[in-house]
Amino acid sequence: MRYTFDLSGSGMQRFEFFPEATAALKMPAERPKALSVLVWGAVVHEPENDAELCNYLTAEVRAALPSPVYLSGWGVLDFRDIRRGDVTVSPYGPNLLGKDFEFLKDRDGNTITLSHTWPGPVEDDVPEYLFSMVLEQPFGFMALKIATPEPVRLVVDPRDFVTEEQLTGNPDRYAYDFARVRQLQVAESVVPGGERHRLAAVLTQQTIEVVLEQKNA
Amino acid sequence: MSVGWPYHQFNGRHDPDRDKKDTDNVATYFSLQTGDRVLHIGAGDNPLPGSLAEDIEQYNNKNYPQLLAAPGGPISQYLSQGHLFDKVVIVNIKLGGTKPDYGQIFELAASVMKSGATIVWAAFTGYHQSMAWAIGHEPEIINLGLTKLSPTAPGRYEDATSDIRALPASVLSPVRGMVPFSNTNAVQVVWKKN
Repeated sequence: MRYTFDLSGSGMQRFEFFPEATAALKMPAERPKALSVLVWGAVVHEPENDAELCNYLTAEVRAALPSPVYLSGWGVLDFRDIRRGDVTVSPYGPNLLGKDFEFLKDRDGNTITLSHTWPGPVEDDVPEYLFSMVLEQPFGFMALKIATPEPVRLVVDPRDFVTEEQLTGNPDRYAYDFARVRQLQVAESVVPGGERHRLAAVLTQQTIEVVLEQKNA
Repeated sequence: MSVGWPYHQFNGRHDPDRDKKDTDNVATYFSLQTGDRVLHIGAGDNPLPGSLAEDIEQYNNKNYPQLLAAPGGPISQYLSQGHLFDKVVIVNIKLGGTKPDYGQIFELAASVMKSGATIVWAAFTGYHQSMAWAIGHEPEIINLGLTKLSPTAPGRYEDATSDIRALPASVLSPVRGMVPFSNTNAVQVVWKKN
């Protein structure tokens, strides 16, 4: 089941991507015409004001409204007709337990940042979208800016939404799994004849492509 | 002012100073400097240098001037008689609840500001819930005796100043623990007390 959110104009204000959302994407070297970003963990505020969305939520989630809802599954953030953009990532240091992150610092104590620009003309009538979220690879805080005149869309399976209470009550089940065990199982189940060790070898890109393919089917 | 992470979560960490409570059962642990001119409400772990930081993470630095009051509650009783600030800074503040009312923070700030003092209300993105509230409820803020200084256009925000953009930032996630982020793209609105 698919549900499409339009994030244009004030549409973004319904969403909270940081700190819970995790993005996975292959960073394009050149400015892409279009870009799809996998996102797990976007939070939608006041879903009760969206009657159509409510129709598709699970009964358990509907019963808990009014409450923000958390996307416990992959959504696809879709950009079209990209005019320019840039991305900055501040990597987090290695962390065994997947909690309480810290930025990687250089020897002078400054936060390390990685950035890339997709140049293009600055057009006053073309809106710029800023997405702040955790990037899976390289693991860190990402600020992704994209200028496009086209609507930005987030496509989700509305049955993936859970309440904040469900999320905090059972994070192992609903939150993004940094150990990737659950994601690996999802990818394995959607790749015919997929072998776990092969997936592990090409994990990030393979998973992104497989899930995108599944979402776009 | 981090609603949702109340004082009791710190029970078990023993700090006799920090465990003191006033007659309203409010935890207080701060050292007010009489020269304080800037108040940073909801500072968390990242106080603006040179400010009196309210709701600082109280175990982070016991020597930094700090003040912890009940979330949303008045703070004037913790200040010296008649102490008012020239500037109040609020960055990335997050209230809990399904329809949080950020007007209470403006009201709280206005209660300890001099006439002509400014509120800098900033967030790491214009989509932040607090910023969306601030630009969407300007008539309510005006009713608190405040005037929007910049940007003057209604419903708009502007790039934050370099001191705000340089401020370290972190948030406590119920799932991920403490997660740092960047204010590099922060935006702000500035209001003045009439």
